[in-house]
Amino acid sequence: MSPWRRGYWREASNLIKKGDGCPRKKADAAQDRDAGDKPPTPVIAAFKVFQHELDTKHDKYERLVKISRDVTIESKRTIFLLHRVTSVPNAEEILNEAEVKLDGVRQKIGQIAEELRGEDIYQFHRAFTPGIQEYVEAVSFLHYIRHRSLISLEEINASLVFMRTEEVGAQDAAETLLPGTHVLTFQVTPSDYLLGVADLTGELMRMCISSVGNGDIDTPFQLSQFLRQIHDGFSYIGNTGPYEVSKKLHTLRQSLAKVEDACYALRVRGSEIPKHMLADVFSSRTTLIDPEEGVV
Amino acid sequence: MQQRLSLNKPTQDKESETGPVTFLSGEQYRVCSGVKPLTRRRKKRFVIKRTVVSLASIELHPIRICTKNKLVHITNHMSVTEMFSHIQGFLGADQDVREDIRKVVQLLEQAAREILTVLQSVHQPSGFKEIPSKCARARELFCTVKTHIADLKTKFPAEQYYRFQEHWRFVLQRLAFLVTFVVYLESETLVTREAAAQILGIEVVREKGFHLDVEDYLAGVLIMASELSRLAVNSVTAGDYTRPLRISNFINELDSGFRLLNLKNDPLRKRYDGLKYDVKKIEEVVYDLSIRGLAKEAESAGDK
Repeated sequence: MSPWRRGYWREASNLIKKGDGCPRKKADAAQDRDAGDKPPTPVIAAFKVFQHELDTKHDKYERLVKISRDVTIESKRTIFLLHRVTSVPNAEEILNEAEVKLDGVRQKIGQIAEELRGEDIYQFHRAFTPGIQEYVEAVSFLHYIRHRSLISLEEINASLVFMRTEEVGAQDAAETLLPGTHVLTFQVTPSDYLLGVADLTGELMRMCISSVGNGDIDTPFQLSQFLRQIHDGFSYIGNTGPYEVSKKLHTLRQSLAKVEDACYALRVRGSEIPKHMLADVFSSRTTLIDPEEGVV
Repeated sequence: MQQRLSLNKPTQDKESETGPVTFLSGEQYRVCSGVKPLTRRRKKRFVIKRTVVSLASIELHPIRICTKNKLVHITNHMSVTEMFSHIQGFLGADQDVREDIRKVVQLLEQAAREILTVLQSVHQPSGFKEIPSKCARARELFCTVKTHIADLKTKFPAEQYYRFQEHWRFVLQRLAFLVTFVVYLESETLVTREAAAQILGIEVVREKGFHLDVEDYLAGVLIMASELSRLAVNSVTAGDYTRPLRISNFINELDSGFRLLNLKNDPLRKRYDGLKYDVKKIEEVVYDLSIRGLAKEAESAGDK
């Protein structure tokens, strides 16, 4: 029996007091005796309550983590789907398919909202924030492709309203519109929105590069201006935002530099080089970029 | 460069193509053309296939509406910037609230330090006799704590406790420890979460308001366990040979209680891992006393 096992010293001192031999067997027996028979003291009873409380909270947290993972995966798939828009003639079909996928994601977010009903959302925020950021990235990407603008936080939240039907006799009269239904909303926080938009810029950079490869020479210029606006916005926010923003700002600068270089390459070389070779010129150019040069 | 923007309905269905269109203010719309967008290099023309019927309800930047074969330009370079200003508004307000909270928490920490100073003196040999008076003094100081916490509650919306929890978590755990320690010194029992919250002037249940989170309470108990292992050692030095035995029973019961909990790998778990060393230390003290027969001597001589 090692000294690190609980109760070793207690048993040892007990035995030495009594002057018994065979400490090992008796110590084990004593341990088992202690564990089972005694009636629960107030302390033990209190800890049983704590156990229950902690277990409930951890279970909810885990459920939210699972849903958040599903949201992340589905959003990422939507983004991959949207990247195909540049290379496929029938963009509308892809956009509609993406819309359907995002509706599925919204249903999952509805489940998150359901779990969070009656809770303080910040207690569990860490559980679902990655999923929500990924969703913001996907939905803003789709919005940009459709409308060439940045989706607003209000717009995102407006689409995250869920109707839930309940059995007749629902207690919560304040929230019901019709008897038996109530409205559940999920509010994306400004910081999650910001982080999602920061990730969006990476996807836009990829879109820019792939559009050049497809012979679309207009998108890089539009993207360049758009990304510049976003970059300026982030610079304005500086470090008053969540701390992850500073890391993402660095990546954003790199993405912006790549896009600006693409525009430069197109402007300078666009007329000289046949379209199908533009992509090669461009990709060799981006690999020459030293990341540190992009940092202001 | 002027961003070329477009006016369009949000929906794409064909039925409402020619009907009146309503716009939401601040929204960007696309003039549908179906042809490739214009580029400066190619200088192609846009054809406007659908006309805009009602612009009255929108607030757009200056628009040059042109006849059929010309372009509609809308300057929108403010909108991304506006978005970020809007977000910055939220972030700035958040920062202000946190600043206010930090100020009150500093006062709370000061009060906690004062209580700790009072209670630390029980470790000294002379301090053992003065335990009741020190506990009384500590209880007085808890009133200051109550005032500060009442002030803290006013600094943020009550339902956003966990949003700002990180600011006061440390000091609240300290306070839980101090409460638990005082109650132990007075009665040698474990203060219940309800009683601890009452001494601090806060709730137990989240729904009722600023509350003592169960994890913070447990962290305070664990800090007290470390303090008790030190107290056991010092009480032997001061000549009190019975106290360590009582402390030992108490700590072992705490240990059994903690073993019931299913903890995750969070800070509470790490703190709990320290408990076994406290248990061990106290067991060693008890062992030292037992083999030398000092405990028995003390028992037969009566409490000092």
